[in-house]
Amino acid sequence: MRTRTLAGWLIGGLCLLGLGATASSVSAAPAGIEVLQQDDLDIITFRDGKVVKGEILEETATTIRVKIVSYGIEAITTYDKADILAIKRGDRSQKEETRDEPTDDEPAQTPTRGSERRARSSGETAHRVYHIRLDGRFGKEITQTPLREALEDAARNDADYIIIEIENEWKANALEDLPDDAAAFDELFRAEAMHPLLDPTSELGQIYAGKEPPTVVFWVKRAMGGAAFLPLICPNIYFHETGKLGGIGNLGDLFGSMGDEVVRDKQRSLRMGHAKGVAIKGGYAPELVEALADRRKVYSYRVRGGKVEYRNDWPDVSQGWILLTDDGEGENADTIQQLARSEGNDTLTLDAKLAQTLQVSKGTANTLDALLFALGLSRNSTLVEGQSERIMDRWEEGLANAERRLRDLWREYNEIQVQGRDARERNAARGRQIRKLQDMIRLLRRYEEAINPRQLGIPGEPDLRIIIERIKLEMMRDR
Amino acid sequence: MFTRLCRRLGALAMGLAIVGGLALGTPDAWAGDKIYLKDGTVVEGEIKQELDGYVWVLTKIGGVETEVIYKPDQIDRIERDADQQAPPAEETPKARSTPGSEPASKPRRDHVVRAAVLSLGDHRAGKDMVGVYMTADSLRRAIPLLEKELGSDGSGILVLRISSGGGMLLEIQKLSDVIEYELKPRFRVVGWIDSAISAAAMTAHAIEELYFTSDGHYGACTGWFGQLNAVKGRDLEEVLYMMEKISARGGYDPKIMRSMQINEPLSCSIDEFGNVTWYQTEDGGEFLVNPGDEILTFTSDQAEKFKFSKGTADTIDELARAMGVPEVEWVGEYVQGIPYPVCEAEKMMRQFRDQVAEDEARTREYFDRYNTSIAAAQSTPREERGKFVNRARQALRLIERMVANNPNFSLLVFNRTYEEFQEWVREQERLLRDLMR
Repeated sequence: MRTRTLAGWLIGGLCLLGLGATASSVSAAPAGIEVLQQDDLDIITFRDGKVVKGEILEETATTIRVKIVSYGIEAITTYDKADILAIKRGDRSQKEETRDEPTDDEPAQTPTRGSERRARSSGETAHRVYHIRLDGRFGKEITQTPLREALEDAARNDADYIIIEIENEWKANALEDLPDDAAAFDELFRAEAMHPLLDPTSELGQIYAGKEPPTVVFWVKRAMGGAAFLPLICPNIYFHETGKLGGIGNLGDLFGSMGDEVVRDKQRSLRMGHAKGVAIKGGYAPELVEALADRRKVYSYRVRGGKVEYRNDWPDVSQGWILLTDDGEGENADTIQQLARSEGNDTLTLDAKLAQTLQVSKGTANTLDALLFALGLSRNSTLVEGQSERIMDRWEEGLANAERRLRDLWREYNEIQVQGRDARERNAARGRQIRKLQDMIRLLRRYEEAINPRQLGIPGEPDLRIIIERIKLEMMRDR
Repeated sequence: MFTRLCRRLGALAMGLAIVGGLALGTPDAWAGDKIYLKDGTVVEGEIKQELDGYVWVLTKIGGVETEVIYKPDQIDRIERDADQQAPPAEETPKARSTPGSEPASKPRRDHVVRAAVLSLGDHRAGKDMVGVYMTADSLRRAIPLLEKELGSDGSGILVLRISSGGGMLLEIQKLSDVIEYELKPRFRVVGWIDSAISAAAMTAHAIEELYFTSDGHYGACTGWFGQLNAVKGRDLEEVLYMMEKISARGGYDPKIMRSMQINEPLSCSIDEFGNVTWYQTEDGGEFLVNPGDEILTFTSDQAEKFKFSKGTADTIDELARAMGVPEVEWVGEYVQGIPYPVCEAEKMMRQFRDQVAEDEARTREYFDRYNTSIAAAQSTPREERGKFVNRARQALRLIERMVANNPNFSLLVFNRTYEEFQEWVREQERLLRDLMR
């Protein structure tokens, strides 16, 4: 790891030298309006009306470095963002986002999609990085309320980068991990409730009201089942070297042989519509989701011109195609040996290497420092001392306490004996019953998104309300 | 440096003057915006972008398009869409007016289009079922509020933000009729597709102008019931025919919807002018859109590529740009958690859905309270019945309120028509009166 980091710095240093040499060769600022015709150049419009076309090389919170070619001569100039009215990014900027992934020795490109870096307070140049760790059960500990609170804390702390480290629990029971080929596609709908929080055009933008929304970066250690749909809505994904993303390969098997085939097709189609939408929003190929979700589909891929191409067919090796997933039928079915080694290909599970090859992952980082380095933030960022860990812990403890308390309250309710010499005593006991049930309703509402009453063996809110009404009626009669 | 700056500013000023002069000298009346500069120059062209008072104008000089930027301190005033003011109704099919209808009650800023977002369903909140949370009745109730906010002369833009996983077949025609006969004559109706599955897509299909969010999806319209049993035979034919007619309302080739309803292949070709021709075969067109053994659901990229949608937009600003409305006044105020301004009609619609959600969760409670109170009254001496009868009456009011908020509950809960439900309520009131006699 250390060697790689040092090598990275050396390469980085060389690049800086190279750029410096170019810059020093032409000291003059660009004159007037540049009239380069290429559509893929960035266009910078200044407040004084000047328009400059060129290639944005680097951007900080306060400055922008641009390479301009004027009459065949290259010049690199740094501009103050305060003087800039608007930046229109050329096609090249978009192409670059899907450009070849960084090697282990190269820092990855700083994520650029979605927005320019926001203007920061004068004099401050360091990026503020906020770290959120999502672990535990998807839909239980990993859920929208604590995530929202953490993001609000990030906004309060003026963080302009949010790193979300995800490592969800993927277990069959307390002792046994689930294998890669286990799947929970329909947890997609649970993930959808969290998506607006990760979307700068939706709730995340509102949390950052009045500020430039932050760049969200997912750091995948384990994103299996519904958790896979969280990073996929985000354009910036990095993997830990042991990272995995998948566990949604059961779409084709969800309905077995129930009902008519055309209705099963409809059910699959609408789910795929939802899932592909997530990928498209994140900037990933919709075909990737099909390969992840449907065991029956055969997919191949190849990398052409730095871009990944998918094909819903067996690979034509002579054309550079590589098998991604097969149909899992007959002799193509994964063997137990392959499954035990996580080498199956009936459904797709992304590991760090494949994710990077498919340009889902922008790089691999095993530590937070390495991730900051990969993001180009190692020397110009501050890790914010936020409350996210406490927020997540508090939710986890609160949830565990709530589940325990709900069982206790239900037991205590059932233990209350409605007896007494007169109506006053009996109704006092009924009053205690009602209070227990009302406490249960309060807890169920607070943890509504994470608690399924049936799993706890207790009635849900509608039934609790009916019980309360019946007790009230008994109180009316017993007077 | 100073000299260079002066030279640059001089060149810019000269550029502006020349452009202005040419614009005056060659009145290429190809776009309707006029920019009156403080120096007396009038520039005609198309405003492409505005920011902080700066205006990007596309003009034609000798037939060559040129984009020029004007600073705020150069501009005296702007006349927007000068050539297109007060267009005849027949030239703007989406801006139809209702004879005799009153204009907007609110004063408007000149030349600024008003727009409002009205959500139909909220799939992320689980309040999205067509017929339950997305109903013709609630949509109709929103119209007076929308008229107050947008006017009814056809100039206001009503954006129907659709977010639903589908629902009841019987509501589709009703919703489609409200859109066609009650909304379109009053507003420019636009669909903004977040999630339109099954009955929701079939509802949106009456709208000519659709935009998708980037994660939006639309389709999967197969009718079914029970344990994934398909609607078949004559019932299916009737639904297919209904959607052929609704496809015509929205201006869509009926083959598209057919591939969303049943296993029918779909392909298309796009000519050099961008016209799309659809084929109900896998290989008839250049692009395979849906294999014959699948059901079609469009994603945003497909919808845009095959011209089914007019564009993709995640924010109201992007939507305004996609709609080609450079200046728009969005009606309403921002509320945390909602990515667009909430107008009065939207507020009403959200209250409607919240009430439906509460009623849906408490239906059993209402009936239990009613029935147990009646039973208690019947088993109690007449002089002590009052409290139980009152309690039953309260429960009956809750049931009535539930059905008044969503008349479809009469069918869903009582398996009765709305009129039969009202008769049932009258019977119950007679029963309660009798209990007190």
